[in-house]
Amino acid sequence: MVNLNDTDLSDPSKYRLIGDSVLTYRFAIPYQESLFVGDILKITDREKDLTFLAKVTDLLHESNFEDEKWDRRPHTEQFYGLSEDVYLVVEALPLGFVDGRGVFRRPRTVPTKFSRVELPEARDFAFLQQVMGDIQVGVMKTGQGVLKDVRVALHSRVMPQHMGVFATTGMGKSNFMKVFCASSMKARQFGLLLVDPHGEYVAGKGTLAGGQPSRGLAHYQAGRDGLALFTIRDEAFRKTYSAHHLFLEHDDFRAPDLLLLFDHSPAQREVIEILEDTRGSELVRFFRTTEFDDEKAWAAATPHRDLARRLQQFSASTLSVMKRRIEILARNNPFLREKGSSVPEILKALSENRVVVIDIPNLGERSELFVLSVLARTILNRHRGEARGWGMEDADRQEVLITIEEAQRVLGSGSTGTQVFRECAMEGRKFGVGLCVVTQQPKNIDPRVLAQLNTYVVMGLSDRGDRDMVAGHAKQDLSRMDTEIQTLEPGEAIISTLGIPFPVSTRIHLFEEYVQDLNRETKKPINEGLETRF
Amino acid sequence: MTAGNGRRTDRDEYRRDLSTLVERIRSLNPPDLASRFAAHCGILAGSYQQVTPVQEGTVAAVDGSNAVVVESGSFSIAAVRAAACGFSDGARAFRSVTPLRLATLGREAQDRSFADLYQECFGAEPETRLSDEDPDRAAAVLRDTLEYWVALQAAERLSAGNLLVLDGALRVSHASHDPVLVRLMKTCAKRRVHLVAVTKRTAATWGGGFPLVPAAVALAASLSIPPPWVLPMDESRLDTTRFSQWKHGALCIAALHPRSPLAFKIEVPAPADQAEVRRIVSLLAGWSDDGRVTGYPYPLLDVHRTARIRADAVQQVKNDLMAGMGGAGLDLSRFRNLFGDYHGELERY
Repeated sequence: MVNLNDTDLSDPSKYRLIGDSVLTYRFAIPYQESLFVGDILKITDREKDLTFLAKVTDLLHESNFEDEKWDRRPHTEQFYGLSEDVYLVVEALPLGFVDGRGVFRRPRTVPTKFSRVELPEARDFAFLQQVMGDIQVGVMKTGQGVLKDVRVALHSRVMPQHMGVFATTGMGKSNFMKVFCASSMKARQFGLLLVDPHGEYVAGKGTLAGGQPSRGLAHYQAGRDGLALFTIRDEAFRKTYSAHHLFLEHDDFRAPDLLLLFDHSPAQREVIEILEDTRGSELVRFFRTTEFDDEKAWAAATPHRDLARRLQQFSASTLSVMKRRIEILARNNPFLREKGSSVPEILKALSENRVVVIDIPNLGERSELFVLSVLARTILNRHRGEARGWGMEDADRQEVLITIEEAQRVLGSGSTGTQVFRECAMEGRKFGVGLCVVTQQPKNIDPRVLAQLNTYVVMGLSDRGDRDMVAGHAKQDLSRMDTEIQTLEPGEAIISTLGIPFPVSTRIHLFEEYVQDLNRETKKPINEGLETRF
Repeated sequence: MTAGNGRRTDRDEYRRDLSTLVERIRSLNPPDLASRFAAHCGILAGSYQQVTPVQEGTVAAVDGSNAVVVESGSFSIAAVRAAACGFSDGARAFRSVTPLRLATLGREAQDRSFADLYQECFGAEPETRLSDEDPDRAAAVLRDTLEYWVALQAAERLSAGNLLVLDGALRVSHASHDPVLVRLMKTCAKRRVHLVAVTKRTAATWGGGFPLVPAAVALAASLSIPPPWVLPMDESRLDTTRFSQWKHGALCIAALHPRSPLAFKIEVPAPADQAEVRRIVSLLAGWSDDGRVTGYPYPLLDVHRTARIRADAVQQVKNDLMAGMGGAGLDLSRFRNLFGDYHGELERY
């Protein structure tokens, strides 16, 4: 008797690995299934007792039909039995595998053919908690959803190795920075400097989408010890938020700070180079009291004999321009005065691993860059000096992260006069000085600077050149995540950093909610750290 | 035009043949084809019966497949299988398939491949032996044997009002299948299951060689009769009736979808009741709207794909055969001696 076998009408061919290599996986899912770029999937290899993890990078319509145009011929509105032969091929980026002992390893092997592909649960990511750091920024995102129990946290120890935050306008850069600051206030493992020309970090600015007022770092009451505020605002504001009055004194200033603020001719640059080591107070005094009307006479008339000797080779018109610029600097920066500087307090706060916010609303770009230039130079020189003087071991070293918003202004390929920031980028990590490079145009950042960044926080980037630049320089391979980067929504980021074994898609905490949660956490007892015995 | 020595050039000879072919084809499609067809076959506008597509009950289709795996000079090895697929409520309800059956061809007297398969399927010896002369035809007879058996199983599975669709005709090509086809038709009749055979390509002609189906389509178009329709044919008006002693169907032409230029020769058990024919064509048309094969009954496509023995399956059988021979102490050189020939070698170039 011949057999006639009813075949199973269910379809076991889907959700099992069919290819390709160590660097990419492929499997089929039903054509009407909902899966999203960025979804993380678990591939269970029962033969080898390994659990692989992979991230969806692309979804493609495919079919078993030899006729490639089967779906676009005339009268193609009705199809029967599509689910067997028409399917979605999922391409996924291997993230690594968890071995039988629960240890996560890099993907140096492939799962056995036809290993089952499943959606993971939070417990499948238990290993990640072992590798997460102490600067929490969000929760792990998978496709359209999040794994609430999988917190994404950067390692404070890698922060001085520079960080880049890349996003176009409206993608949540400021929210990320506030969350990052709040976590840094909580952890207090490094000093963080942030110059805020828009007045949004201290107390928030404007309202959120739901109409609630936006919050600032000062609202993180439980972590208030980790915050130091320096502002140019009035006394009432300073009292409300326990802020210091911001002042810089003339001696904080050096001639090269001008390079960042104005365009200079070669002759003017030469003047600046000659004056590089001259104290700021002397420079201001010299240029304020010297008139350069007469080409010959000014040098004889000025009481600043040493400076006159060094500058007499330059034309009066060149020196007049320098005079005008220094006057602009003094006039437009109300926080700049002859004597009395906040810099020592700022440095102290940074050395105490606080987040230092320099709040200078309404002062404009030049003031912001001036403050940044002065502080970055001072911090770098001090750290450099400490490293030379004491031969500090890494463990003892104070570490500072300097935030530069719109960093393409000072770290662009062709920009001149930004030596201090370049030095921070190239050498800073040796001395415990890191840069937090925030920009919406990474393609305009000097590639040599990008190559120094060990942490990438990539939020939505619509420009292909920007995405290529980021993918080309990140320490982990982001090139396969291009589609995901393109489709990131506001508040979402891909984070590639040292210590976390693969780029993690992250839903950044909403700052206002995060601060609320942090404030709810048990406060430290008032007597913690005090001696309790005689 | 001739070359210098008076002979035609190669290109001229080719063009002359091509021109002759075109002329012959043109003569089969005269401008008055429709009216000549109507006059010759006695067809009026009312002869075309328009139907409404319906999807009711189950429509099952049966098909088979055969492939010659290896050939030696004196015998061949073939693989055959058959399948049945049933559809209802817009989706497949069942799919059944036989295992891949293997047989030797050209050694029927010694090996009884056909006789044994027939015995397995129908519990009796075939009334007619299978000739060893043509391996391709022998493989087709083996395939038909399985196909009829699967059709019988499918008919038993269906209930009153359902439709069973065969791929081909209600006419056998080997005498031993005649009682089997009769048994199938009786089973369907007893269970009140509609039975129809659909032919993708027919040799039927009229008027001295005019193809039948294109003429019926042309006439329907000239009469502005949109598909789906069915045209019962008086077979006495056709040119020839092959193997009429094994024929059990009444012949019709059917077009199944208004947007498709395709029409088919179909056969229903004779004598055909016109209401029965319309009902069958309605059921066929109800499943002929699939976008891949618009105008063709989708169950037949599905069962064809189920039964089809693809090249990779043939290669697998070949590999298994070599492995089996190796296990029996017959090495690769013996396989090559038996089944290797220069056709395979030539294919590589």
